[in-house]
Amino acid sequence: MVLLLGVLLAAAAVGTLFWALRPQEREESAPTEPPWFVDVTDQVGLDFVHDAGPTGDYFMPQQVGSGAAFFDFDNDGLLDIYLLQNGGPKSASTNRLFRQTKDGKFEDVSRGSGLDINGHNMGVAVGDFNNDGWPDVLVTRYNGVKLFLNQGNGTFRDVTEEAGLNCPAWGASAAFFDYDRDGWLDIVIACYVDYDPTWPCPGIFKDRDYCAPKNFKGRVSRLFRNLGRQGAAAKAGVRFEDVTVKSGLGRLPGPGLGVLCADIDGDGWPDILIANDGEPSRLWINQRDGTFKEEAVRRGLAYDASGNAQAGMGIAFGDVNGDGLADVFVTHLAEETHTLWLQGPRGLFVDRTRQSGVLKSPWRGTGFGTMFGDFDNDGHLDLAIANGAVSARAKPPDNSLGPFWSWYGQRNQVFAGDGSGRFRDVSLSNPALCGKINVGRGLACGDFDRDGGLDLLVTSIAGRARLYRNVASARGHWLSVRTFDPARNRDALGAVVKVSAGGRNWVRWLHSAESYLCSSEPRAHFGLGAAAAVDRIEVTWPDGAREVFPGGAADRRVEVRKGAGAAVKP
Amino acid sequence: MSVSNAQKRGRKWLFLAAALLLTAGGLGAYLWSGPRAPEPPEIPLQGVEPELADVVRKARAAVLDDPRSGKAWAHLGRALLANAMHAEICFVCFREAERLDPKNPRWPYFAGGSLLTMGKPEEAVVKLRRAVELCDRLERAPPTPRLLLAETLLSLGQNDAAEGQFREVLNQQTAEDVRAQFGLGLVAAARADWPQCRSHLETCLGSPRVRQKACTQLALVCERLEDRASADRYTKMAADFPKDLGWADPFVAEHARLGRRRQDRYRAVDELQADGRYAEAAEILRQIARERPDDYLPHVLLGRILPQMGQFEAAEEHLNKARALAPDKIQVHYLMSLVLLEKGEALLRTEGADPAKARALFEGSARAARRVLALKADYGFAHMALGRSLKHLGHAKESLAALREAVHCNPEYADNHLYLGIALREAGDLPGARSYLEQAQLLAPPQDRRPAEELKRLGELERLRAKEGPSSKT
Repeated sequence: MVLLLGVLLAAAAVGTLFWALRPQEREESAPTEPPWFVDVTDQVGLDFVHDAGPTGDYFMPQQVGSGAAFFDFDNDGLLDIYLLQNGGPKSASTNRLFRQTKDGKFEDVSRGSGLDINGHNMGVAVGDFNNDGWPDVLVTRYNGVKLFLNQGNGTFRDVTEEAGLNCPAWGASAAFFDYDRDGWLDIVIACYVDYDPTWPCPGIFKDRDYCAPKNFKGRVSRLFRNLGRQGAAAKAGVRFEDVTVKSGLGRLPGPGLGVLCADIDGDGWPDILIANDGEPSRLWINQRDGTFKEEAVRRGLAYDASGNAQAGMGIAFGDVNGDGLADVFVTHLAEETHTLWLQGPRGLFVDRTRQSGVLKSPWRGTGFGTMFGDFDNDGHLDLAIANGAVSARAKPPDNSLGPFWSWYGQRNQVFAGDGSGRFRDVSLSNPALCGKINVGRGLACGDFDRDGGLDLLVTSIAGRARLYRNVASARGHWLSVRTFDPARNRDALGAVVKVSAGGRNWVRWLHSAESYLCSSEPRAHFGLGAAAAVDRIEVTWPDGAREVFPGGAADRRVEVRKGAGAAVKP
Repeated sequence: MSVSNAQKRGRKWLFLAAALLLTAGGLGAYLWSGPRAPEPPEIPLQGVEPELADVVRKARAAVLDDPRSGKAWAHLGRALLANAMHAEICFVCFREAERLDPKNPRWPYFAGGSLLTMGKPEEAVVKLRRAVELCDRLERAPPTPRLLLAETLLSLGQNDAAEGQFREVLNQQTAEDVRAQFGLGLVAAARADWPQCRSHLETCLGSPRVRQKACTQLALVCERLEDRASADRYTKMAADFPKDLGWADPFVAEHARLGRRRQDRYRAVDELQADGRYAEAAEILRQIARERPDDYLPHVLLGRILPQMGQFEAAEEHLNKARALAPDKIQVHYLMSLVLLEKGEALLRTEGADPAKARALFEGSARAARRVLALKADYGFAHMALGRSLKHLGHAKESLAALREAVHCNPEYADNHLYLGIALREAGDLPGARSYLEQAQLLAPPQDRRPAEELKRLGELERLRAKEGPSSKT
């Protein structure tokens, strides 16, 4: 009997051992390296909570979210922040302007600024459209746009009507750029869909959910040409002409969300890339006569490698493999894949997402705001993505965003680039930025504390806007370049800056509008790795002129002025 | 030699102990890897359409009744899969089905598909390989699992392995050759072997399942090969082809009947409508309207489809029903505006028509359009309908304003430019008319002759005016 019991116990032990050793679900591994970002939102006094309006009606503009701008509105050399609200025209929540003080904190100067408007505000673009030296602001909305002139005294004036800017469509991301190279900044607006708020859309996991864009017709992107000052007086206002149809952009509608303006084909004239939600992206190539020709298909940017159109949201633009050509990254739905297109030869792109490593992540998300930036200044571009779902998940990851928005919560992501076009997910090492769920939308980049590390600003639906200070340890050397055109009295948006240091070259393209609904600091930031000195800075100005400026010590913020460098013969 | 009783008893105990040991060991091994039959996971059905919830509930109950039935697990998985629900639970169901019915290639195939939906391609490959292995043992199995395996390998950058699988499909000479050729084209693109890529993709141009995609890929391949004329040709072909039908999947087709989502039926209506099969689309909608008498949506969709079959009276009837059920829906009023406008214009074309009747229709149309614009001020088509109605009612100035607003809101539509151009011509503004009519011609599809005809009329007027001299200008 004793023997029997012994045998049974032994057998049970063996069985239990087998049971205990059965395969377990994979768990997330612990952070392995120091973080790049810490959340300083509270510390700097940025007390902005996004108002998405009342929930329950599944009003589609809620789901698009609202953006933010990093810009120096008072020209005091410190980056300020403008944050948008989406509570609707009856909401008490208004957009807020935060001025940075000398101690690195942000004070709310919204009241009386003229920018403190309510409504369904979506995107923001910043550019000095009247060349008076003060950055102006364009806000896209569910039902149109607002153009604000910076009056240079801390206040802005709504000049939408007097400037002739009339856009009834639902605007998303927008950009200032000078497409006709006449020295006046023009405006392009990616418009979304012809939304019918009374159309019912059932959800997968709910009886109702937010409508998908395929339920409605897409809109055409709108192009407004800046006609310059209308009158001889210095204070005369500028006018805009709607050239959407004349320019060719009016020929192909699509549900546009993201926009990027840069010289894609290398002819020195800015082109327009529009990320469409669920339809092929459009690449409008500037024909240098006021018109554009759509060439996304033949240049490889319309579809992914399998020939599928995906849900394009935000756009990042930069040279991720050091070949001097800008590459394109577009965020998509979690059920799809984000796509990295490498450029080469000039003007042609190929989807290299599979090889890039961006698919190897501990989690996936529906990406919106996205930026390339050398966050650790090692000389290689890294990548950040703000994530948040557009339709309710099977179950909320947790309830931290409340009973409604938790269903849409996702975690952000950040990837380290190695300079060859490959990335490694370092989200787990960045718990401040990526550790908690949010319904992430906007992502803007800027060095607000001027320490040479790129900081991030993330907006989320119905959540706090969060400012993440770059605290990457052992950051490399760096250089931050402002390109200034004294004749225009403003930043030279559209300039291309090439920096040579330590036997290497880096290129950056100056545009404040990439990512999603956001405007970033209009400077070219270079991580230089071990190079402690810069050999030279070469600038190709928006009008095609090229100049070389002397280098010097690294770890500086420099301003190069058009005409002050040595001209380079074409 | 005799054996003692004690020894006999000892052997008996030893035998018994050994038997027990084996049983217990077996039990342990069973617990570790054996065909356990877990309870099916809870499936949240709150807020799910009742018909769909019923299908899922019944399928789950069948599993609870007989948790060792592979068929029951598979049915539950398929019910979820057919309705695009809960990939994680689908995977559990098909994993169990595979364990209980290990020779059926469908279950690892669907489990692999669920893993792909969950974003786990590496794990999906294991399941898909198993599905391929099981298919190979069957006499007539579709190559679909092998194709999905190849595509997944390609997505993981395993180009050689993917190519091997695609070539194996080609060796089998099935109807799925096109999918394999397309896949080989993508493999070649991944290797930047553009001539090879072009050669594979060009074999796909005859297939309505993938010809548009093939054209878009060929356009960029030809651009890279610096064959710009071909790039232009393929870009144009891609724009002209209708949307690809997508790949057929015989395994998925087996459970299509389990689809219960209303939106899937509406999607079928959209596809039929896009294909010009209005009668079939209308029949589905009438069926839904019968099943759901309180739902305005089938009526409003009938109000959209029936005019395309020339059935304006029936369309108006359905829109009236929709309006009674949902008085604040934009589409109801917009479509009503269009139907009344079309009816009025048709009446005017009839000999001896009663102008008062036509006027009443245009007034009704204008009223409906204004209702739309009160709800959605940037609805270009509603501005257009209002402008056209007002023109018939003799309000030329207001009509022009509405038509201008239509172009302003939606400059992408040829019709908005066309009607504004016609109205301007009728108002005597010939240069203005030309500008809009030319724009309409630019935006209209090539088969739409209306802008050209209107431009011709305008040309005649311009010649006439030129003959009459500048004093004739209004």
